[in-house]
Amino acid sequence: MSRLEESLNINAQASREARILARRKRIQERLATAHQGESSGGKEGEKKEEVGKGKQQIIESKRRLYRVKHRTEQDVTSVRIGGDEREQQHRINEEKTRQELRAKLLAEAEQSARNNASVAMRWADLFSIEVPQDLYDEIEKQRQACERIINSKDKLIADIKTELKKKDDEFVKTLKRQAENIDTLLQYMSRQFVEMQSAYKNELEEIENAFLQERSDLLDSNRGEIQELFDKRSKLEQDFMDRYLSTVENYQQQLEALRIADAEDYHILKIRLETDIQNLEQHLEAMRATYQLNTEKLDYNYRVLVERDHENQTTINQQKRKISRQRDVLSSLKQRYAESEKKYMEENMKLTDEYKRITEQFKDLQSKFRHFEQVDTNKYNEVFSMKEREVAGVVKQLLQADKVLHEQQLGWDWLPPHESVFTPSLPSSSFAAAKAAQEEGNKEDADEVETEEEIKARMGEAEVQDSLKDPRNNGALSLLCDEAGFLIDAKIRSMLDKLSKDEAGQVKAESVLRSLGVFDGSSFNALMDALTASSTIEMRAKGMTVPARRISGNADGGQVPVLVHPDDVVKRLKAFIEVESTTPARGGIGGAAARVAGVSRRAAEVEQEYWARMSNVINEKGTRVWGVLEKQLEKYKGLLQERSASLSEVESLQHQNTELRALLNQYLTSRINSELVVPPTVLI
Amino acid sequence: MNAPFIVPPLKDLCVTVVAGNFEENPTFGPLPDKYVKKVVEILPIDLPLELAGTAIIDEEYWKRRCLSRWKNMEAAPHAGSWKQLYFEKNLEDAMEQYDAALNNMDDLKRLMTYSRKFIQTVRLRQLPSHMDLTDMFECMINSPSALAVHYSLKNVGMEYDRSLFGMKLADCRTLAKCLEKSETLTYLDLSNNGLDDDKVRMLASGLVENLSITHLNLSHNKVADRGVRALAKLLDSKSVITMLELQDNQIHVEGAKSLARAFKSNQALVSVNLRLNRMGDEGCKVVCDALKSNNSLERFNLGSNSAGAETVSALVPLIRLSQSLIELDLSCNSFGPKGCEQIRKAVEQNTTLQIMDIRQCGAELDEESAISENLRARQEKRDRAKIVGRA
Repeated sequence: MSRLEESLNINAQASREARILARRKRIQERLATAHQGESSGGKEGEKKEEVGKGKQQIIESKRRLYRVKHRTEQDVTSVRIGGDEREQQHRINEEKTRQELRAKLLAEAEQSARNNASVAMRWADLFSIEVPQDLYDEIEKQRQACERIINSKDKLIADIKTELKKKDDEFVKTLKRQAENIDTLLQYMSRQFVEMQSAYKNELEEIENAFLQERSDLLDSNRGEIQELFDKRSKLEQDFMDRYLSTVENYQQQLEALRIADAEDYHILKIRLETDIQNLEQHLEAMRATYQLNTEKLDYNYRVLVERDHENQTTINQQKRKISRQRDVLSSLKQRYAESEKKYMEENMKLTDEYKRITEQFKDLQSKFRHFEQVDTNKYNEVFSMKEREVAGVVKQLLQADKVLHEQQLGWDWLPPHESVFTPSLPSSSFAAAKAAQEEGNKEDADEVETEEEIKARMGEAEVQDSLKDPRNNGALSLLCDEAGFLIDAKIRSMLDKLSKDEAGQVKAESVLRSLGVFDGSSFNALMDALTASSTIEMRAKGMTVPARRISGNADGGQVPVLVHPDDVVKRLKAFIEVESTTPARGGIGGAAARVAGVSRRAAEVEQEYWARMSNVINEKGTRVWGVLEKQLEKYKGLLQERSASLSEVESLQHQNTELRALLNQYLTSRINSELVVPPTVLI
Repeated sequence: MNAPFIVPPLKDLCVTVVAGNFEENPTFGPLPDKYVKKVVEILPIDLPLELAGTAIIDEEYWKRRCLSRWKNMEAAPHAGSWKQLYFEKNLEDAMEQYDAALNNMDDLKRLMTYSRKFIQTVRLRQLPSHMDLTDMFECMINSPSALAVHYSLKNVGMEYDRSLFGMKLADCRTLAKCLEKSETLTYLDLSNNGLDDDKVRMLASGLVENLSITHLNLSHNKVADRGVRALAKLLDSKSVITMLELQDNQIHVEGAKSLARAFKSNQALVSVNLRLNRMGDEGCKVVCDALKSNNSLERFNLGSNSAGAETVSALVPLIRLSQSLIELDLSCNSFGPKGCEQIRKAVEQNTTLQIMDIRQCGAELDEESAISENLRARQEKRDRAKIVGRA
């Protein structure tokens, strides 16, 4: 009965579970579709471009498979979970029942122990009962009590037995359920297997389809692309072919034209070249003939030359011998020359030393002279300046007196003499001039040429150079060079050999001019003049003053002047040098001394003038005024002396008066007066 | 019909002769590989095992030999090697059928010794002899890396006796001693052996010295709080155990607390299974709190533990903050609709979770499907990223 109930119960439970499962599945499917819609709406749209169709399908399939797998796995594991759940409940229940049972057992044990105790106590009472009836009753009672205890125990045992039975049943049931569960599990597993298999198969097919689709799409697109490319290529090839053919034709025509033109050219050229060949052959023949002739001529010449060569050989030998002889002579001469040179060199050295010594002495002398001169001049200057100061003091005093007289005694305006009366006396200026002149001289001694003079000299040289190049002077210059060749320097003479003829002449002339002391245009002109036939220079050299002829006029004439006879040239030159050296314009020691003398002479004149001026500072008129004034002042002095005497008299009288007045006062104020009956004050 | 008239080539003749005399002369010499293969093809499958093991490496031969002896065999669970499969199966059969009265122990030892080179896993589905496993460990030095022993008896029928099943304390003692010495064992499966607290403690005393076992399976036993406390001591910071399976035991609140203490300092555990225990709301809460500070755990099963609202308050931050958790099973608990909603929100904030089971927890159907939809969307996104990235 209970089993049937339980089986019903189980059935009901199973159907309930099945219903729950079905409901859960439905809900899951609904949710899944909703979710799918969401996700496919959102994600797939954006990913589709990136991922290929096949990949997309794989993702999709994976998702579907995952879902199927998840669902079926849930189904399969649900059996285990159901079993777990039941087992857990069962364990909890079992624990509860076990505890209940234990409690019941304990309670029963207690109860029975109590009953046992009461029964055991009654046994003792039983011995006291004497009446068998009573004893029987009591024993009966005791037996009943024992039976009750046994019954309760039996009941418990029965309870436990039923429990055991229940357990047994339950075990069987559990076994059955387990078998059922295993069946369902197997069922689920096989179902899962089948489902998964079919799902995988489907998905695989779909993925394959998708890939095939993708492939065919790709193939189509690629084919189209390739077709397009092929079309393009064939079109390009066609174009190229057309162009190629046209250009080929064009080139062929050009080639033809060129060929024709070249053939014509070739013909012309051929004809011309043939004629040329003929000409050249003729020429060749002629040339051959001439060459033949030339060969013979040259052969003859060669023979002649060979002969001559022999002759020359002999002469050369002779000359060589001669040269060797001459060389011996030369070496002996050289030896002699060296000896004499050595001797002369020694002599020269000696003389040079002497010269140096004398020059030193001369220089010493000069410096001594200069020193003494300096000292003398200084002394003179000092004395001079002292005197002059004295004179100036006197004159100043004099002038002061004059001024006083004029202004105070005469009441006239006093005009001071001009300032120049004092100032130009300056004895130092004349002295400075003299000194400057002296210094100039010194400088010339020391061969120090001032820049001004240098410039002048350079200008002069330039003039000389210019006039040297003047062709008009050529005659005179050549004459000069020929006749006065001894004037040329040894150095220049050695140089002359290397120079050309023209240059040598010029250099020669220059050298002669330099040794004659001609450094500027004017002297050159003078020289030229001296070399003319009509020159008066000899007379001038003898001291006569004959005006020099105008050279410019000579030059203006444009004619070459008649030159002096070559024999007289030396004479003329001598005269020229004399004249040139006496001219004051020439520099030198003599000129400087003259200048110094001139300066000192002028200074003396200035001094004289100065002294005269000093002595006449006060003119005649002043002196006369002074004399009259003196007389008048003498008179005035006498008058004043008289007055002074009378004044001293008056003064002594006044003095007496005051003394008397003092005495009076003394008397009046003396003490005696107060003692008097009638003081004199009252009386006064 | 013409066959008898054709003289077989000399080579074939030689091959047959070599194959026929292989037992007497068990070597191929300098034969080319082609003929070695031919010889092996026709070798008899009843060659002595010792000889065949050393001389023959051809997989086809071993496949032939396996399939002729057992049905429904597959090489995949045995590292894809038919030879390994044959040796392992052979040894397992020998040990399972061993009876001290009938068989000679020395023969078995010999078998173990020469099988050692070809064996990785020893999986005993029954051991009625309760033989001393020390012999096995001694004979097979350095060889078995995985050991699974079920002390039970198959096909008992009406001879059922309770004492035939389960491990005895003596078995535990010998095994513990072996474990102390073993240096190659990485997988130990003692599920369904009726281990109670005392036996587990005995085993744990051996495991303390062991530093090679990474996968420990003690599921479907009767381990209670004291046994769990002993196991928790193993899970210190030096422990190398990465996978711990304790489902279907009798762990209560106290055991949960000791486990929680161990989880706090442990950094090696990757997978923990505590399904079908009696930890209750308080125990689950303590364990979840402890796991918050752990960042290596990837798989965690807390199903069927009658966890409640308090556990939810600890679970929510664990789910929200964890950076390592991939799989989480919370099925068959009583969180109620509100708790499930909180969990759903936490899952939405998490980024690593891939699988989550919250069935039979009193959740609304919408919540459950929302969680699974969330995880599914995440998985799809990962797949898409993988495919697009690959593209």
